[in-house]
Amino acid sequence: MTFLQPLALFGLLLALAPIIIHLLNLLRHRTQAWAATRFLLQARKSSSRVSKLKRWLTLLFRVLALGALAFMLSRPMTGGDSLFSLSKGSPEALILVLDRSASMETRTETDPRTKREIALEAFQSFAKPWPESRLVVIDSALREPFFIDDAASVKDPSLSRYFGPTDTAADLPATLIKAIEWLNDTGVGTAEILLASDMQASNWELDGNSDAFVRINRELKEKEDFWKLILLQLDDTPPYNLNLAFEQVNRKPKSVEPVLNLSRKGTGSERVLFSTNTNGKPGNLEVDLSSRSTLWRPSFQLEDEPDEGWISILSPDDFCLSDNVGYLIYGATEPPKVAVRSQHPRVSLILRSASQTEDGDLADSLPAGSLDLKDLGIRRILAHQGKFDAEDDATLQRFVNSGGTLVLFPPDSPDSSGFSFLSWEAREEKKDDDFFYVNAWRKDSGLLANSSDGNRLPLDKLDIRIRRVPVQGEPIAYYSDGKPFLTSLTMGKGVIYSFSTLPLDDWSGLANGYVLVPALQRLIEESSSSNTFIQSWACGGKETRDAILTDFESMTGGKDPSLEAGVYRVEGRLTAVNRPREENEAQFLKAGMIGGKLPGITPRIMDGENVSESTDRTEVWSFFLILCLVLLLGEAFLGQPALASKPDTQATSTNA
Amino acid sequence: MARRRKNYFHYVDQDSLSRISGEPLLTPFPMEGSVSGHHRSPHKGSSVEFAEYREYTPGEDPKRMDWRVFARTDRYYLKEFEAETNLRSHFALDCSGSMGFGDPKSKLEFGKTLVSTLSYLYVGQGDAVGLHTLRRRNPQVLPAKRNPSQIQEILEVLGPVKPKGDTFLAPALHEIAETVRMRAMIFVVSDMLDEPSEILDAILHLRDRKHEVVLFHLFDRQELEFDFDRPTRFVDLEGGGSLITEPTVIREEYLARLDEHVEELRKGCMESQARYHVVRTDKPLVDAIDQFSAGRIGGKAA
Repeated sequence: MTFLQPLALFGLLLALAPIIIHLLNLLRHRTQAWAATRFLLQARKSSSRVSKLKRWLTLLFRVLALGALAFMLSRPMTGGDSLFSLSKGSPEALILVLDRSASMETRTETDPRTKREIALEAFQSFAKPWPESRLVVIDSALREPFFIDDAASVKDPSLSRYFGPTDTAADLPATLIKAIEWLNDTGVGTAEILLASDMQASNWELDGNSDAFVRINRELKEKEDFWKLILLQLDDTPPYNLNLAFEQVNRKPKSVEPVLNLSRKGTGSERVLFSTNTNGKPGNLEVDLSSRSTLWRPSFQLEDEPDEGWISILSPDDFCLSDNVGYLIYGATEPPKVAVRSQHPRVSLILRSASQTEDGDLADSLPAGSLDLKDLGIRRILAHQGKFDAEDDATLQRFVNSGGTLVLFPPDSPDSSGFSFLSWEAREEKKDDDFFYVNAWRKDSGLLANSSDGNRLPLDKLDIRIRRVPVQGEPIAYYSDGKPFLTSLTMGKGVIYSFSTLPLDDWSGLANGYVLVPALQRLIEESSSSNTFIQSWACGGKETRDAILTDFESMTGGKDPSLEAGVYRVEGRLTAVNRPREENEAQFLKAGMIGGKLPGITPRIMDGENVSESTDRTEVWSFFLILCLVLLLGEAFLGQPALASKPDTQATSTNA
Repeated sequence: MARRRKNYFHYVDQDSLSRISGEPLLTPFPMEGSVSGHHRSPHKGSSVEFAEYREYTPGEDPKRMDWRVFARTDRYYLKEFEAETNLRSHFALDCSGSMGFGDPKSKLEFGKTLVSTLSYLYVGQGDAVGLHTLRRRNPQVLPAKRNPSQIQEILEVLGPVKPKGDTFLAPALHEIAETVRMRAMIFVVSDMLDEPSEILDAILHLRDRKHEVVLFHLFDRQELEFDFDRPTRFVDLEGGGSLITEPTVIREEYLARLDEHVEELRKGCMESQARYHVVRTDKPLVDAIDQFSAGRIGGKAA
């Protein structure tokens, strides 16, 4: 037997109180001279058997009643099948920690139910033997405890906000911690925590959540006998699934050309007919899926469409419906205004050429003299090189803070070290045939990312003789000696990119264009794709949770941007809400791997079809409460005076 | 110089005197007195109370012959009258240690008042009164006298008496039965803390001697109610040691035993035609006197 409040066991000392009071009473007796001692002796002699027994029983009952009270307050626990257990080992609370991420909408070939539905039904079965227990559901999307009276409520359509499908990702360690915090806050004694998840690796992030697992392990270890963790493993993989995700959206003057990543699992039709919807107008697009992963670049013509709108793309039904749809929005096209400002004419020419538009227009050239903010007002990108004065410093800061992109090249004069917000180290130079080389850069995204067909930029082929390394910013590319070749620095709403060399022959081969041109063109494309009046969010992210607190309007029928993907107009801005990219990941964990992260406890692992009760300990305070009451009743019964008639000697009497 | 005598006259209860004053207290049994009095005598005498006619037998005193009957019937008859004589009453007061119990007045003090008051009444109506203090050592006996100064003698004996020693009731009553020869009225004033059978034997002994026996069984309120609520050490007033007990536990049994004792005495007294009175010492004495005098005042006793 264990105790939830072991300190209350000190109350057992109280059980000695009746004995102490009895002894004290004997000590503090009064002395009475007495005449009729013969009757006293007779009375004591004749009552010695019954009354002695009654007296000792009364004392015993009092002692036991106080002992039972102390036991009750210490909240004893015992095995569920113990004689002390009046109920069938009911835990105080049954908690369902429900993974409501988009991937939980997956079905299998043999079962028409989604994993989420299986989890809810498993919880129903799980709760059935314990109708007295409190039922609490904490889901990964809302992460708030939701109380239900009846386990069947999880199927109530009106409660779909709490138990229905979502397009969110999940942070299951955080959700589990939330459940533990609730247990701690409410002082629940015994609980069964049923964690239902498809074990998608991105929802657990085993490596990034080490601290969370340490905390979970510690808390559950402390309550090892009282709180039980059961992992409901729902890791069946669907036989066929096709998911789509937007990689990129290119806005052209009269069209939108998104880049979609189509991933296919299992064997299925090679030609797939996608349903599209452009501002409410349905359409179809057919794709030939020859490989398991395909980048698809459809083009949506917008001649008859408004400058701002939305498009949805829906793949045919498969075994996971939640990843079949994607939403994009587009805004009015506005060619990015690129300007170049350089003291060096050749650098100016090279930069203007590298950043020319699709129509062949060269970028504007700003005079090297005083920089006026009016000149920058219409610009989105400014490539800048050369000397400057203090006024330029402030003007450029305002430009970047307001959302502009500044591409900086180091000054060629050694006396100039940089701006107040960004500076360069001293000039370094290699002699003869020796060069600086770039050997590492970010290839997955950004200016130097690999091309869409997977080819990388030839940065390692770049011969650099002279360099001035930028001091501030996050490196995007590194030299072989670890110094940054290119950095990015976010300031306000804008970004500053800083190169470490100049596109001049005596500095580097940057003027060749095979690095500089793609980088600048990507900047221009990124700038044209982005529009300050449109936004794209991940469903369930902070922005979507904030959005439901403001006015929003659904364009595609969704009710809650924090739970459902779709197109919404939030505070006047058209917003595409898509399920988080990590939900497309196909890596799943085994429940044993979670158990490995919790070495202090041994969570039970069950599957959705084999759910059974697991509590082997239960609180038995009710037994001691009843025992205490019975003992007190017994004590009161023993204290009842016998119904003997009093002798008729109260008044003077006589007989003749 | 003469020793100043203490005044114990406060033992005579004035309320009781006021209640009874002027009316003789009679006895239903014939008494053998030495002088004329209010009480029936077993002998025929010369009082005004007619008893019977009886034929004359030669040799008898011809003065008692009824000549009127002779004139009517020509036969000799003697007219006999009831003899009325005085009463001899003996008060036996238990002076054992247990009689010292009681609050605010001990049973002994109450008994002294009872004896003194009744003695006063009986002496006042011309009856002889005697006193026996019952104790194992140094019992005192005052022979029955009808002299008015007998009251003072009785008070002189009663006044200094203290409760002491164990109960010596039954043997003392046997002793009285043996020593009091003439028919008398024996008052026993005691808490009767002796074996009922022995007490009743002594009463039968007294009754065999033609005495009328009246028992006043004295009780203190606490003895009857036994309303103690704390563990109590009871110390026996007659030197029988002490007893620690929980009164609430034994109260019922105690009262039952007490009732049993009283009932046994009552029944025994009824069988032997003795009068038995339970008297509470916290009640006025006049209550006890009233109980005793019922049927004894005025005409003939019942």
